[in-house]
Amino acid sequence: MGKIRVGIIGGGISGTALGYHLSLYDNAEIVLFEKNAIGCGTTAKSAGTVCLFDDSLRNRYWDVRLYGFESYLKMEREEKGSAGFDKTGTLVIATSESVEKTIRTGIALTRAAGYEGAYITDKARIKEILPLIDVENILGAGYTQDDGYFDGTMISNTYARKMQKNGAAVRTMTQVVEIVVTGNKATGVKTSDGTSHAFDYVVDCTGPWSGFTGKMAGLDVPIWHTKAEAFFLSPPGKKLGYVFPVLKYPAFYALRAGDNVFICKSHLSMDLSNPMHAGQWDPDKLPSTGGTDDYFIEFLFEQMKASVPGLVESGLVSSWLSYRAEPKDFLPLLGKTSVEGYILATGYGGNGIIEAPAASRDLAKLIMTGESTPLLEDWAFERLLN
Amino acid sequence: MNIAVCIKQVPVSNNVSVDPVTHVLVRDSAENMLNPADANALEEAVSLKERYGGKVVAFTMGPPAADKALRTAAAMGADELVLITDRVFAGADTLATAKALAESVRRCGAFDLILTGSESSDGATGQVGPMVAECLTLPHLTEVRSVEALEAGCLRGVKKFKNSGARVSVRLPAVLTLSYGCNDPRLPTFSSQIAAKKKTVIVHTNEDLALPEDAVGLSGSPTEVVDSFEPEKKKNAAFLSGSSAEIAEKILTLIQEKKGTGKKGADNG
Amino acid sequence: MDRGSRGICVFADNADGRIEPVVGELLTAAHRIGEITKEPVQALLIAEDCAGLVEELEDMAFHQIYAVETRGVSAFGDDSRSAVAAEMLRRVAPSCVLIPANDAGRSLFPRVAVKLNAGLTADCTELVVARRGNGEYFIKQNKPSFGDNVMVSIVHKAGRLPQMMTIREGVYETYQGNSPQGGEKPEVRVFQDILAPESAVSLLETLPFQGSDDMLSSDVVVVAGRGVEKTGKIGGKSALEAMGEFARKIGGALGGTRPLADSGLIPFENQIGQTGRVIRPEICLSFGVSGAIQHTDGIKDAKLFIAVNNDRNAPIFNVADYGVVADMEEILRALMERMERAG
Repeated sequence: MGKIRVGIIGGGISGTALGYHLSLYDNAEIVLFEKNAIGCGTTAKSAGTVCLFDDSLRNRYWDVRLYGFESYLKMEREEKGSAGFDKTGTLVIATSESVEKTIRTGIALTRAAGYEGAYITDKARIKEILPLIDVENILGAGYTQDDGYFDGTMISNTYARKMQKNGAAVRTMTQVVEIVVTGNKATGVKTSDGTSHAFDYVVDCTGPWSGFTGKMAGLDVPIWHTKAEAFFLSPPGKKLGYVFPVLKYPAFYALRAGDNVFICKSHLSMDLSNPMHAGQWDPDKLPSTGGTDDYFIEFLFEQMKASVPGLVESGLVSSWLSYRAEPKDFLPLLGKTSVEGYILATGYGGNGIIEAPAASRDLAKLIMTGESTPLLEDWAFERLLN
Repeated sequence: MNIAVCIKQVPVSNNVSVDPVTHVLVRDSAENMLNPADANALEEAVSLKERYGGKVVAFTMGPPAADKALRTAAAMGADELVLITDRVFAGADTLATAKALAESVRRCGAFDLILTGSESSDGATGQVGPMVAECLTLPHLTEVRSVEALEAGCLRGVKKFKNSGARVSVRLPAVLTLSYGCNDPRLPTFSSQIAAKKKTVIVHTNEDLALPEDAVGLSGSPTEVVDSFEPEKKKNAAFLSGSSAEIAEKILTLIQEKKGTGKKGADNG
Repeated sequence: MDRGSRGICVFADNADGRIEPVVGELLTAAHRIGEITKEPVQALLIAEDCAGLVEELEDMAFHQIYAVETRGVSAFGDDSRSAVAAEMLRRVAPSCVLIPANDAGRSLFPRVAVKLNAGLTADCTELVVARRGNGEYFIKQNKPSFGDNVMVSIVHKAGRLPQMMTIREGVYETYQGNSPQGGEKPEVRVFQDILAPESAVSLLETLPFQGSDDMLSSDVVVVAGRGVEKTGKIGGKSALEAMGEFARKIGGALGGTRPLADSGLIPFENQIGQTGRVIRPEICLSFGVSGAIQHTDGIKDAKLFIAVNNDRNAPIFNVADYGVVADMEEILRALMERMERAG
């Protein structure tokens, strides 16, 4: 069997998950390039929620979600902490009948897979799970106890270690400065340390950087950035005293971070036509903390007043801004492009932690065997060319 | 008890590099924040106000965008905000900065205490506090770790001094610089942050301060920065080798060297 | 310029009746400048009682020693001491003043700078003698900035004398050279007529050194990572307990990364990282911290960062100043044994 040489650009969740799944094939020869450290870019700012269900990914893609979740549980079983799992459970609030319907389906799927899940309409019980919220204007809540959130940086580092164990090379602090394209075929890359590498496939796993990466291959990658703005709150009294679950409302979500609460605007509430929400920016200019717009505080203030009054008097510990890379239909960009040998594994749009394991599993198969999958066809780059 | 607090807006990240050709500083992020030790000064001021009454006025000097630090101060409990800003103040070293700050404080009435952080996280000279004190001919204490009591026109507190501590008393009014981490600064909340945004900022230009031109900004600075360059730093760690005992010895030597030159009492080892 | 027209003045910082060791370091710096500019090297002594201190300075290779006694004014009375220092410098009129960048120098000389309307550069780590077009010497003062990420060169503008600068401890070796005047005692001048004004600051008591065990204010923080969970017992204690004890013994505090807080081994208040606290210690020693960004982002500007990790490829070694690739259990045990021996 001939070797297939694959160069991966980007060491976030996308690149490391793909690198790991490729490294399971004996004839894969893999080099991953990361210009900084593994999992230090937008992956490090991900909330890392992988819930058994929520509205971040339609129930249609439930197997994607489950594969991601169970991949990380497996990691945790192999080495505790290697996926940074905090098993807090998830509470998804039904604010309308359509949301309620989605929740009921999600709960059914959860139970079918053998996990605990219930749709709760007893408001006293909901208050018991999360005392801070207002239950007056809600219909009910879906509650799953076996899930929670993970740590994207830990996962990326664990995948990077695993792929290295399988013989792949990981080059950190190494930036790809040129993608070599000969006669509309990507044949290799040149890196900041002055070396050249020949590949059969070059894969863009650079998420929010994909616009810039694509340009090096002469490809226009239709990625938009939506802002993921988040706050760390110190709840009144500074101690939660109970397990704060991952909390999902249509407009925002929250999870615990120690005794603090992390709260973020949900990505489906972003409006691509609003220049405050969406645009094309330079992710290299993202500050490590801060950078949120003033409107965000007011937005959250209103949301907290209406939905989680127990958090209104929280202290604002810190904030951060990240960019989600999204095509206009909010689905990932995977697979072949008009440049032969140049593959995309990007556009996860803030769902990389959930989607990358299953997407990488399928993409690795495509690269190594040429065989596509229904998921890849659904999330193919070609869909946007029509 | 009226308290002035002098604060500074600093970059969130100290990750700066130097353009090898132009020698201009390149910052990896334009994001700014309130200087961490100044948050400790504000906390001390606001808690003293809560105990003894009075008001807290926050002062900062910088470009108009430095009002962000003042808004944070307001969200933490500062009652009035003063922004000292004028093109003629640009390029000021510590001396010219202190003169402008002191003049602005002087024009805002009588204060019992003037607090500031013991140093900024970017320049870290620790000079501006004592300089403001001298400009206002007030006594000062640097590196204050705790304020214990106010009695008979004096403030009693504990300060750090050469790896030990000292309990001292200072007659008020006085200038104090507070050590980073000496207290747990209160956090802005949603409502205090939103209210802070609506607060009026008093602006002092040099028209208001009427300082002579040769006392402010670059022309009022006896020193100037003539160059900047990358330090000779290793990108990667230098590895210590040897037996475990030898490595332990090396680690302790490094720590003791860094802790200072074997001061009395400093070596608990 | 002939020797004697101006001078290079060293602030003879002292405590408990002894000249501080750092003064010997600044003496080296002063002589290096003096070799080029041919200026005399001078000591500026301010103390409650000068007698013994002058004798100590006499054996230290100064050309001239200037002293003022400030009876009744403690080392903290910088409102008073600055008036004395400024008047001394007006009379001595040196070209530059070298000051230790310690708590004493950093508190006293900003006031002196205001009184003399002179410039004061902070925390120099390198002094370079240079010459202006008119032949006049000046000092290029290099100092770290932005948490030691950048070096800047600062100069005093022409005619702005004295050039005052504080210099970090440990930059120069203690002066080893011979007395510059062939064994002759330096000239000693005590300004009897410079009287220290009353100070508004009084010392109530000196407190014994106590390392802060508060993680945020401590100068030394020992940081535990996920690796400690897998480490065996050391002298009957868990690795984390041993680290806590070691931290206390070196006068520091203990912190940890998120996994330790999650599993309840350390309180959330002591969690370091993006989702926890940001620490700014002088010295940071980490055990079993991998160096993932969300943890290292919580450690800002540590001047000395030593990392112990058994994985040579751990990203922590990209941020640390010194690395130890070893089993932390062994290193901790050796550190504890070494501390026991030292008592």
